[in-house]
Amino acid sequence: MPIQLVVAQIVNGIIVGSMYALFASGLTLIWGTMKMLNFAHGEFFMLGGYLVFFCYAVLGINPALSTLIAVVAIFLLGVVVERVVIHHLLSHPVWQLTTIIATLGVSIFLQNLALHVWGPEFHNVPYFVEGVLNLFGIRIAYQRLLILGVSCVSIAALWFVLKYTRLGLALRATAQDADAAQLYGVNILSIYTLTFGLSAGLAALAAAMLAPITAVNPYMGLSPLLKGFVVVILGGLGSFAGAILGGILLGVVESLGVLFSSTEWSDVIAFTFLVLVIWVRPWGLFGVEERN
Amino acid sequence: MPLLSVERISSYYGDARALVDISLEIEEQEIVAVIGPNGAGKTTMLRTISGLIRPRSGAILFRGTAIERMPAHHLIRLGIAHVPEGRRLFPQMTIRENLLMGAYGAPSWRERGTLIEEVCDLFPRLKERIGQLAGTLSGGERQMLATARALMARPLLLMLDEPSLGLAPKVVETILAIIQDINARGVAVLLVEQNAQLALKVAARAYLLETGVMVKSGRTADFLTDESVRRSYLGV
Repeated sequence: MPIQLVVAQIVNGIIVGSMYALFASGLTLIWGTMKMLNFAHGEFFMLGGYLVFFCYAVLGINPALSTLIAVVAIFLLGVVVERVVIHHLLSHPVWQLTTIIATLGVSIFLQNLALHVWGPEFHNVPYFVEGVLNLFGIRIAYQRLLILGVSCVSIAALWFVLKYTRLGLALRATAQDADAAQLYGVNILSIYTLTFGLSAGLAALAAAMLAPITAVNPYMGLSPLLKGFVVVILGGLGSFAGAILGGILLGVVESLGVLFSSTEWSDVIAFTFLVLVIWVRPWGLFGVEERN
Repeated sequence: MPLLSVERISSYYGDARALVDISLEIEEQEIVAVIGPNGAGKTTMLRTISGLIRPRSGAILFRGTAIERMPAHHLIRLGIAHVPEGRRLFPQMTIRENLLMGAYGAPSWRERGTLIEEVCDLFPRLKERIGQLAGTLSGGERQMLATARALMARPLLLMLDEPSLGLAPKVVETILAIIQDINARGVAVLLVEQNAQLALKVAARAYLLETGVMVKSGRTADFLTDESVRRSYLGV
């Protein structure tokens, strides 16, 4: 097997993985602060994809602005969904269960809404940038490099906000001890709303970047959602660093797996890998072992 | 006007009544102890004052303002700092970040830099470990950090829930000295303790809470001479 092929697959894996990371960091952010699973995350991704399709491919708005529109709109949608559907569930005792049902409901609703309004067709989105980089015989499309750049920048920005801003402090405090955070002045309900919006915005950003490679359709959120959960569990639920590294790891494992088998096997490889990891470390690669 | 006055509050956990018509007052710059056995409702009382639990009836006034319907996150702004049972630090944050969180919702956020210096002078042990994660601290250090975090808000009232729990006697002595020092700087302290001996040592007045009912209140001296208190809570 030529070494270039292996290297190319690794590079590809890192690029796709960086998008998994972006998508999964939204899920892990919600799990970390609100202790709930968001099954509608894939539909925020899907709607982000459609918005980019309409803005960029149909209306011809420039790709950066189209992405911005998608991210802001889906952020606001996330805020609305949290306020309308999730907010009042969180103060009831069995919210872990009710929020799963509620977000599943939102997911089915949005998916069918998209199907009804826009139909089941796949819509192609042109590359944001044309051209291919040829580096020592390894060919990478500029679109893919753009993806890598965008995810690096946004992950760094997110990390900076979490680590060094007053808002990030409040967010982490809420995640670690919601009662104590309240006692010291954090309005945790606003933090929940904001977290949900932020997470939805991240899904939209990932969708905007991936739309040109994967095409847009009502079911496009399904596969990333499953992968997202794999990544989040792989990295350790609620761990931001875990989501990033878990995403990249999964991307690399998948694309290397393709070298030895066909693409249809990539999901099998991903889930086998997950099962193996949680066999050894049930709390994930970067999670903390829970003790009671 | 008392700094804090709790007037006939009743609190429930689900359908179970945890506090029955309890009343309590604390004056400015006073140390008041609430003693009583495990499960008497001491923690519930503090959580009710803090707004984490809503009382079904009764009123809570802080400097004359009704606070019993206020959201929990508003109280730190008024000057009530609660060090909860089990310290409840932010374990994945550094000591510095935990201290910053203490000032998060308080007007003192603007002077957080100088305040960190100030509380570090009070707790030199924390200064040495300022970049360390709170989860790595020992029991005594955790209590110090939890207390220091509360002081970052420049509170008028400091509520401490079982500060001595799980600490070695020597460490408890240190914590007591610190409580007295804080009080000497003008902060009123509401001290909730299972360890009555300890609480009565520093407090001026005390209350005895048993199964959700305030059964006795008075000067500490009266508690120390009361035969039933001595037998049940002081072990003499």
